[in-house]
Amino acid sequence: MTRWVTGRRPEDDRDPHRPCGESRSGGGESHPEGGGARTQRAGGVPGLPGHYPLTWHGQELHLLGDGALHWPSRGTLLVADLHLGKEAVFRARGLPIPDGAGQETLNRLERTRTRHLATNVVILGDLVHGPEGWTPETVTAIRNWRTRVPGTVWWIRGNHDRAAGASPHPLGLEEVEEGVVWSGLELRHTPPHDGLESPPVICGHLHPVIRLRASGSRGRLPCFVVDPQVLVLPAYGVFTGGHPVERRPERRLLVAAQEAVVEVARTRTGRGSGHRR
Amino acid sequence: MTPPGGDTVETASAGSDSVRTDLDAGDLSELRLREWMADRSWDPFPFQEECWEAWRSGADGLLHAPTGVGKTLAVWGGAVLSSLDSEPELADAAAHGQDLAPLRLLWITPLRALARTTLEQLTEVVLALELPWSVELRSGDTPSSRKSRQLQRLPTVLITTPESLSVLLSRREGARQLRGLRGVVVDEWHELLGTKRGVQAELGLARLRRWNPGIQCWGLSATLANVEEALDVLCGAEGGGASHADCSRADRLHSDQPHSSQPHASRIHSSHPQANRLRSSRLHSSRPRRVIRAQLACRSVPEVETVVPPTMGRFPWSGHLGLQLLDQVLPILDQDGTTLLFTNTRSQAELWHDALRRSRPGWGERLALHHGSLSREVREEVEEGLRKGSLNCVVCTSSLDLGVDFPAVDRVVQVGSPKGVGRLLQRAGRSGHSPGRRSRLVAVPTHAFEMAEFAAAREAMDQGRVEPRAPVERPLDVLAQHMVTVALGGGFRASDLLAEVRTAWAYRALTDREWQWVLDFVTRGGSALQAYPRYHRVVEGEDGVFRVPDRRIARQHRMSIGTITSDAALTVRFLKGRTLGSIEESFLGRLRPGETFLFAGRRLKLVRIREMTAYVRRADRGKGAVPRWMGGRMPLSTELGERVLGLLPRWGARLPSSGDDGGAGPLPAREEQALAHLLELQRRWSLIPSPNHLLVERTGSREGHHLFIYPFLGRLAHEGLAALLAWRLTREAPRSVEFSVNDYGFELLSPDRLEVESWPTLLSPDGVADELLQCLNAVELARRQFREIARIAGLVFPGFPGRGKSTRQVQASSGLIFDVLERYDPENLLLDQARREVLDRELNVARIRSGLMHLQGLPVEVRETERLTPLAFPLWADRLHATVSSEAWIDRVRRMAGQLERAAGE
Repeated sequence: MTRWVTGRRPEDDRDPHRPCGESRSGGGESHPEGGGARTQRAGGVPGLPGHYPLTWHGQELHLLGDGALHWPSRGTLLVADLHLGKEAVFRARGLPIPDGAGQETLNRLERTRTRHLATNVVILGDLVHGPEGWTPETVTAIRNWRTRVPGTVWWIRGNHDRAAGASPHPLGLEEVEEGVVWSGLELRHTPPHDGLESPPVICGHLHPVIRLRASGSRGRLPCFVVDPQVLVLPAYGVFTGGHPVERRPERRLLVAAQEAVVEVARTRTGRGSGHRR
Repeated sequence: MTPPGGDTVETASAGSDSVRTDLDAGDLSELRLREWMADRSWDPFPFQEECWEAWRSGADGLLHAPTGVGKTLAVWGGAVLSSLDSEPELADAAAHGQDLAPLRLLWITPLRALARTTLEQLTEVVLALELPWSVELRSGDTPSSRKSRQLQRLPTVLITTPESLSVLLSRREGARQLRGLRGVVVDEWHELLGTKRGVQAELGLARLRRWNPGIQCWGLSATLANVEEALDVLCGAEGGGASHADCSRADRLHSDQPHSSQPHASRIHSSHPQANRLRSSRLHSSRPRRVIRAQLACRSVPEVETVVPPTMGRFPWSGHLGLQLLDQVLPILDQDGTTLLFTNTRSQAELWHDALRRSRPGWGERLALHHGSLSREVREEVEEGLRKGSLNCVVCTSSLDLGVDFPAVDRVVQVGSPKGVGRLLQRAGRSGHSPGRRSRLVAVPTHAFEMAEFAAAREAMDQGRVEPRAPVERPLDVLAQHMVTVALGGGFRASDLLAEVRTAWAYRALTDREWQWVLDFVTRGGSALQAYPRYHRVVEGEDGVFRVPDRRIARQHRMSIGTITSDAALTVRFLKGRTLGSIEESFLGRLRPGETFLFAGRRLKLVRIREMTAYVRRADRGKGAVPRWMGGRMPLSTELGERVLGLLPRWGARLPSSGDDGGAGPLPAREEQALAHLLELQRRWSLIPSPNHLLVERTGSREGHHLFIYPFLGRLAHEGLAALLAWRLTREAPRSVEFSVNDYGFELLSPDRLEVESWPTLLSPDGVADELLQCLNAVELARRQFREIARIAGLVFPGFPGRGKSTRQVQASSGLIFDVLERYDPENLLLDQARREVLDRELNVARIRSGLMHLQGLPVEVRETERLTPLAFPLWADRLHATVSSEAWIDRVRRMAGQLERAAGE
């Protein structure tokens, strides 16, 4: 196995926004960059996500590094799969996970929203993780966040939201049916079964991630999946996992790497790695 | 056939040393045991008699013996006789009413596969002695109906695994019955030692000892250097870190146990005065401990013979040999009888099996494959074939290292260096079980230097040297799991459990702070969770007893008891029915439907993946990728590394062209002859490495400036060492350094010339641990290490079998949980443990530090070489392998080897 060590000072390696990927090779694979899945910074404002403009079915959309989708013409930010209260669900089942991720998810969302001057927010399902997730802290955090959003917050219920049941207190969110169509784009939580007949769909639910290395199962980074008729957002929540997506010739995959959005090769290369050396 | 009608029987027969007019149950049974052996024309070996005697004298002990010499009979005989000594009515059928005798002896085995054979062996002795005893198995494979019946009444003798023992301890009914135990035997203790499974067993034994301080504990072990330490670990710390006050309180607790040996002490035969005294002693720490070594003339050191290829290149690279030696291996396999062909990795086993299948199509079903990823059904079929002797050849991995002896195995072939003396010895010992026959092993090196490794391993074996196994020190994840287990099995008081836990060797130095943290962790989820009332796994009752009130959590915990983590693996099965085994998701996830791969000795085509199952059908043709399983490569052991380093200069000195013509030395081994050309070139171009200096080669190429350094400390230590040196060099001057490692040394490569001002400074052992954590991506390493810890400590829940969906809401990867804890609960001691395990296990800092201390004092011999030397070449090739595709790599390595051969001349 080989690895590079360069003359950087060790503190350079610390990256507070390192995505949930891994950076050490699993067994005998090379590792040219050394630390983390680092990408060049776009945008130039440290700590804030860059964006990737995409024209899709006539709409100008910005894919953001934290996994949100900005729709400038509607002044709206779209996010999917926040899974708030997941820590509490785990705790209720005897798995000791501390709080914090939920609040950070909302803080990040609010930072992104203000930076991109979005007035409205659409939550594409799975706002909360499960019934035990409706803790007073989570409800308060959502309500506090809601008061900061000047426009409307629309909420499409996802499968986890339905399982979680009603919130103990009103949240001030505008519920909309799954399948609402905006400017020719259908908004859903789950992807449609066949994307051919219906209008193009923006959805979540799948938690798409991409493997960035051939060996080991943890070289995974959240990504946007852009198919001809379906655009899938990565899970926005801090405490969420992911499922690897299949690569297809007609499919574009864009890694949400916090500081930047990076497109990976469309077809499989070499040993299935999107990692160019 | 009436069993003895009491504890004394009139008999006229003579005992072994003195004539007695009456015999108690133990003596009578010993006579019967000897008669039974005599009927089979077996003469008890001295070590067997020693074991019986030691058991009967009340000692704890460890029997150190190779496989297949009658270990079981030695320890088992002792256990039975000792139980009868102290409780003669165990031999009396009438004493137990309708039932057979209650639970008295426990046999712990690390291998489920071993359990069945053990059951047969133990039962045979019980029948021979006409004891009214039941012998049963309890493991993960036991049907649940039998398990719940056992909970009502356990058999007299229970054969189980460390995990199943923990599950029993988590059952109130089970725990109650375990209090009656008098003796425990741990089989294959050397396999458990040095693992968290071993620690789990230590904790279980500590519990049993607290209930019955008189309980005798014996281990069976093979191929181990630190035998005395192994015994100490098994028998626990003397008083542990607990104060004397703790001990005496624990002692008071024991005195009201129903199965204390006191009532029977008076019946002990007077010929065992020592035993009498010992059995009435209440503190287990005062009992004698005995190590018994089986010295057997008929089982001498195995014969190791190396296959030498007809032509031997001077520039070795891994993957070069191996299958190329197939033609020389085939005649060996063609001989009568069964051959076990061991490989070091599962992928290699698949490849060899495939190659053999094509070379010997006539063998059909008589060629088999056995490795850990195959389903139990498939493996058991192969084991059955081995038992019956119906197989010509079984290609296998460490999955057949241990366990059942197959008398039908005539010879063993080892492909690739075993990387350790113990492993070679163990594998060789799988053959030649017929009396008077020597074990024989054929060594197949996969690259030229492995010749030296085999020769070094043989030398070590001849001198009786094997590697030690270091026991694990206070893993908090295992303690957390055990705490919940004990809370389930009737509950605990904090101070009592602490005292008990400290008698387990691994926790003898457990600090109060660590104890309190783990207690907080299982009660409140750790310090960060104090504010969450809804979280409770273990709850302290008003009576001060900690219990698990929630039935769902209880069930969840029992499901996840254990310390073995397996990767997310997909089950591989045919569309219609049969399950073949499992492959890690990381491999299957990269295959598309329709692609073929090699698995379970078959060419398979992937049809689809659904719900953690990969459906396949047979493929007729196609090249077929071979799955790569994680964690394949084992580093060269310290013992073997030192020996190889010692051996090379000796061989070098005997080279024909050297001044010393070698006439005085012993006849050179075949390996030495085969390596002569290579060593001669190494000497001509550079220097043959030796224990008396540190060899450094410096060379330049189009790639940049290379430094090759050869400490011979093994791959694992070199990885850390190379990273450390590279980092230190980059701190001296801004530049970038790339490195690659193997078992002999490592390469540092930089665009700039790497000048070393002071080798002692570069090799300084000061601050190694801190620097390593800084220069390696320590967070990532810890994150990876955390997987096992999270699973053991109950931070991730593996799910109920067959109920994938119902638990999906609480599924999260350990990596994700590591990130969350690191951010929101940085004080979590399990994170500390992950870092510590990275230093100890992944990087082996102790080894790196001692290596540096040694290297620092050695003269450094720097050689400027024009080209890659035979030692440097494999390092170069390995580094290249990581950056180009396999096909291109083979081409380039071949080309380079050709160029170097031409440069070396004839």
